[in-house]
Amino acid sequence: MESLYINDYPDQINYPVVDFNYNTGICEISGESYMEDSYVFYEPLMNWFKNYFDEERPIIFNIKLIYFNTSSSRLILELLDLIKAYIDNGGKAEINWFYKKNDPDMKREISDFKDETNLEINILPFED
Amino acid sequence: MRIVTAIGTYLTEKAYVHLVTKTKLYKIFIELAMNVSNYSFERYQNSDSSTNGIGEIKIFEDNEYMYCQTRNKILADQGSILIRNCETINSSSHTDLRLMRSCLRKEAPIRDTGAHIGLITVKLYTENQIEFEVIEDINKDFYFTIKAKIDKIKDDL
Repeated sequence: MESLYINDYPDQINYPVVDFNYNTGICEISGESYMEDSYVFYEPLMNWFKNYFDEERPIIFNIKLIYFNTSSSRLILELLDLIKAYIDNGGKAEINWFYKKNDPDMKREISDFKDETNLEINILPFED
Repeated sequence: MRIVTAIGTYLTEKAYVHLVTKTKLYKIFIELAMNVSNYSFERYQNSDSSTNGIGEIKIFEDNEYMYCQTRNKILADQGSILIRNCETINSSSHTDLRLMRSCLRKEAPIRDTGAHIGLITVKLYTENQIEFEVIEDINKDFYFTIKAKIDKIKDDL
């Protein structure tokens, strides 16, 4: 299985950068997410998670999205649900979600995801 | 989409307001603009046969607030649904809205673009009542207008 790196739209800020490293288990999504067909973008990420978890490897999932729209949020929830199922089956996972200090709305949204998924999510501020 | 991105970028760079206000305005603009693009009854056909919604977006301000307003054509029978949803959103507490959003998001199909959830999110960002109306014009076309206002934070910029 290979790592997944997506930066196909460097001049379009509405697509995030995806860097899922198979060897280290550190998987990161960063930037902004509000494309027109979110499912098309996120489907490879979900498939990668499923294949990776089949190998029972530990994962550190870092989310560094400074904005995501409603349809992206549904798919982020899907990724988190995959991790939850993996943990429930004995898998090792750590989730770190970074938010800008001047964005209290994002902090609240992350808390909501935490409640929705019953996952331990480390909510970490960073300076702009 | 590039137009939405360009305007959003312009707002973040040029709007001379507090960073928290600017961030809220940006997010609300994107949500409302994408609702127009996804759900307006009036469509523009792209060269690849995909379509985008046609509507109006206005961003303006007064001494106290920044405003983001959109207007788009809808089907006649959508009006009452939109009014009911907006009234429910306006009459719900912050906590109830967060719970409502969580429930809707969990239940939504994976490919759902989430208009109702989007309006809840706009209300949460704005922290003010959203203003809305459905009007019928002389051609018997129906239009939905929604306006979100964001407090201008008065701290040092």
